[in-house]
Amino acid sequence: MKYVIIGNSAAGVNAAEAIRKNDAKGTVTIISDEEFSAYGRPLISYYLEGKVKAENMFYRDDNFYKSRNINAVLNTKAEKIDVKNKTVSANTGKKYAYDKLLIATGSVPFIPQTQGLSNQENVFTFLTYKESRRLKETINKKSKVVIVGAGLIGLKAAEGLFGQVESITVLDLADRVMASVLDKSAGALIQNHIERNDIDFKLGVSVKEVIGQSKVSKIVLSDGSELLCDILIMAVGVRPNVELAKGAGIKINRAIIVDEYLQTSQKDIYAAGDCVESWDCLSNVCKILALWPNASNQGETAGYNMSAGNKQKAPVAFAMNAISFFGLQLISAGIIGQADKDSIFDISSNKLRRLNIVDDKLIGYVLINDQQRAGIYTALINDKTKLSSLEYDIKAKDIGLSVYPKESRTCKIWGKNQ
Amino acid sequence: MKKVYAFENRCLGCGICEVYCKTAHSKSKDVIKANKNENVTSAIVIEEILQPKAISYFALQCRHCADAKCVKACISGAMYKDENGIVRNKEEKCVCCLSCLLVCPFGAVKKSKKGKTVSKCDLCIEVGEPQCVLHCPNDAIKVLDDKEAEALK
Amino acid sequence: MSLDFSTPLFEVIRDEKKCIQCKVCVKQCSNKVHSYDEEENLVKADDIKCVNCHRCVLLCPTRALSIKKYSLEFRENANWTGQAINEIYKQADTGGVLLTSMGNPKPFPIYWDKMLLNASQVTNPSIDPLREPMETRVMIGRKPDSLEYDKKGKLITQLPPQLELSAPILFSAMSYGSISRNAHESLARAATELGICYNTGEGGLNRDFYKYGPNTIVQVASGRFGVSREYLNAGAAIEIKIGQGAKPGIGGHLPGRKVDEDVSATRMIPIGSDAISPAPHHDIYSIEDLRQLIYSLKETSGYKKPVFVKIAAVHNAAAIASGVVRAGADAVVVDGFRGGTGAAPLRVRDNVGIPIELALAAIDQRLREEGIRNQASLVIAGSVRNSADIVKAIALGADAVYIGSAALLAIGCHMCHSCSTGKCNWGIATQEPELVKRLNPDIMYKRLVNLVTAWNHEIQELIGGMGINAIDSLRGNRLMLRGVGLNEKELEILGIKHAGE
Repeated sequence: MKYVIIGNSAAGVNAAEAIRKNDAKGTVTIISDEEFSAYGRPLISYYLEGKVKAENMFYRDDNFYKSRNINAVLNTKAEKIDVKNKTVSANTGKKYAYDKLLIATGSVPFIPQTQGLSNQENVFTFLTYKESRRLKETINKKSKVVIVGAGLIGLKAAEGLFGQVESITVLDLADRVMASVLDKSAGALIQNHIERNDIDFKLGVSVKEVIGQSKVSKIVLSDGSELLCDILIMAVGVRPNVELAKGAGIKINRAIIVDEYLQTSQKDIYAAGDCVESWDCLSNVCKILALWPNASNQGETAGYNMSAGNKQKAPVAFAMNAISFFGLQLISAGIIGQADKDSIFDISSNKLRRLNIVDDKLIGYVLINDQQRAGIYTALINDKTKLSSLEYDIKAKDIGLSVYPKESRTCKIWGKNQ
Repeated sequence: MKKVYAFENRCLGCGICEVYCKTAHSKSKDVIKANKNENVTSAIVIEEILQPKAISYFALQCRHCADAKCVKACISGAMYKDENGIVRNKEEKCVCCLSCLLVCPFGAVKKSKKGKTVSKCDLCIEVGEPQCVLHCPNDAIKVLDDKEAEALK
Repeated sequence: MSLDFSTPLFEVIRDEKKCIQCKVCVKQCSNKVHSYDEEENLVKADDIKCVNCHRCVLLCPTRALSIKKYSLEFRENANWTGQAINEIYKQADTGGVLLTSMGNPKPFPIYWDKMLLNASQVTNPSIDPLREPMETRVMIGRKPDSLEYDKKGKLITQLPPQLELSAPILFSAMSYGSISRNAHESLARAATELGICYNTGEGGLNRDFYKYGPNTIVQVASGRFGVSREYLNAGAAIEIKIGQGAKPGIGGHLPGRKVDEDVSATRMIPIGSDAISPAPHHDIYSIEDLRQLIYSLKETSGYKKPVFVKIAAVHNAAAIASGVVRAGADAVVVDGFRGGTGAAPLRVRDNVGIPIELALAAIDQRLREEGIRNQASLVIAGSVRNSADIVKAIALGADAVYIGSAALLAIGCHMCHSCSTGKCNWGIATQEPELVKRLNPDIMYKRLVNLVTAWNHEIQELIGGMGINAIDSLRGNRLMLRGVGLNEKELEILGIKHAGE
């Protein structure tokens, strides 16, 4: 059996591991256009900050590929999938034959068309280790950094740069930070906290024009104001990386469409991770859930199905995030909804606990600096547990396993999930 | 594999398991120094259950799930399942993003007090046997393999 | 009024260098001695609540705790001791009878410690129990006056019911209610594993414990709690309790707060009602009345189980025992004045009854003289502290001994004399679920098994040393005893010679 995996991040690596568990003999090839062994992608901001050293960036230990007999073809871009002859051709001219193929190409940064933006050398994205390294080498104490996008990536970049540059300004078209993930109250709490650390926000604006000859020196905003800038980071958002799949005639909506076994419309071709549309079990629609846990889970499932036949269904998924900004720890999951008095249970200047309860079920939550046992909330969402069946009102006090009735609690502790 | 099981009908909620968990995961391995000077986080959660007649307790540790969600969720590769099936956390790699805490259905991973890593049960693999079990005054926590646990279910 | 004359009896000493503020002591003390002061990050103690039960001392992970006598001196006075003065203060405060627990603590003579055992030298060589068979099994019950055999040597005489014990030891009567369910379970399981018996006390027998029936003695006392035909047939023997060594002449009182659902079902009384055992059996005013009860119990149990009668060791114990045997009891149980209890009036505990050693010697002597010693077994109780006490008791004429306090000590009792408060920190004398939980029967029954196994081996060594290889050969063999420091009268009652004679 010949397995080829395109992409060397969470989905790709977990798929390779799963394949090796089922099939010790087949050849496993991972093709990646990045030059590094698999690394923890979310760690790039920690690297920038200096909190994680280069040697700790890697997702698996040094001999991961060797010990599992995985052929890692790095720094190589897969350019075309020949569905008929079952081969993948790379930019190196080499062709890789497959019996089962996994597309785990992830996302690419989305850069909006902006006047004067192209061919500027001090413009960065913030999605790869390579970019993070380039950024780290470029910045100095006098850098004036402008980050476009106050989402997760933009804010993490700001945190990573903090203290290493002269100024950081974060722009966003939305009126609040992390608009796609958080409601107003949580967003405001986080924004206040970050502002206290000397990072400027300009919200409700976009970049109208970028000024500079081969090097950005200034940007003009939609409200007419101008900002001096010598490092520009474009963190508006990401797009699923589906070009390769598209070329192979695989069905695509906003991202690659897969069935419950993570197989694409083409036989023997699977896809997993940020480049696919996942079934969101809470809102009951297919959407892109670009989340690390989701990518690892899907990668593992895809790998399993590729090597053992379609037996394992993709685990249910919904949005979830655990992230920190300047010591403020944020955990959220599910559908967060709009904050109102009825849904906020504890709030103070740096703490928040909000549960979104609909029809006797927990469908989402936001916890800021209050997260010791958040996973139990996640499980309540995941299992669609009826809250009235529980031992106490989850709004009233901190969550614990004691919330479950004795029988199901014992079941859980003794290792059986009911 | 062997793991630690709690017996609700025996647990007194005394907290001795926590004291020895902290000791086992301290630098000094000295019960007084560990608990007094070192800011160690216990990997055991003692939960109170309010029953009609009395308060009951149980001590909970990592279940070392076969399909461990925390391992999947870990962004840095710090959380891993070792060759014995024990879910462990490489502290030097952990960035304390709390993704593991976000997904653990038992709430058995804790943010460490120092805030730089997470704390979870590793069955005291470096010390020998689980110290919570060794020091429990009432046999309320036991190390059992799958068969023994099955028999007691 | 806030003037209170009570002063602490004990002082909790905490080594601050060792205290890690883990609060184990705070969580474990049911008397709420320890408390945590968050502001100062200190664990503190309120000495006056301390009963010196050692729970905190033993559970403290850093051994930071110790307990001392509270050093408060009263003006020296051999007559008015500190304790005597404190008792006055207490009664002046409450207007009530002083209640206490466990056995008589006063320094009355302990005759066990004034008797010494013999050993063989040269003649009648001693026996090593590790090399040679040794019999410690005893049969409790009435023995026939003579035995008849047919021509083939087969026994014709019909033997009265006998209770077989693998060692001459039984666990004393302690009711479910006075002690916890887990304590009962530990005793029952240990008795079963050891091949001896435990005793239900006057608390009935919980359904869940019927399975230990072959190793259970069911008790019938003046309150008749929990008694039914099924109950009487559930055990291996039936015991009528007339009196108790710790409080002769006094009944029992289980406060309503200890009568929870389970205790209520077992005792067959309403939840929360006080269980009062009258001082006398209201249907027994004579030996003839006692005979009626013995025979009604035999009738109910089909003459298949021996019936014991338990009396307290009082002044004319020998005459009473004789009456009891003549009334038809298969065994007489005599309980000495140092026997323990969950609750007794202090004055009674400390002043009523006589030492078991003297009562035993007198009863055995009297029954022999009357030629009825074979008609009943003689079991003694009332502070048997070790295997040597047992060997001495058997040499004085006992068939077996009951151990109560020693058994409780094995399962964690620390003799703090606070059983009657219901807050036993060791989960023994309490019905509070979170305290009962502290006594894990899985652990504790093994400790009982260990204790009896150890004692049984010591008994073998002691009698082996005398050149005796069966406990039956020691019974009433007073030549194996010598007194030390006893006067003529005491030696006469004990029926032994002085050392050197």
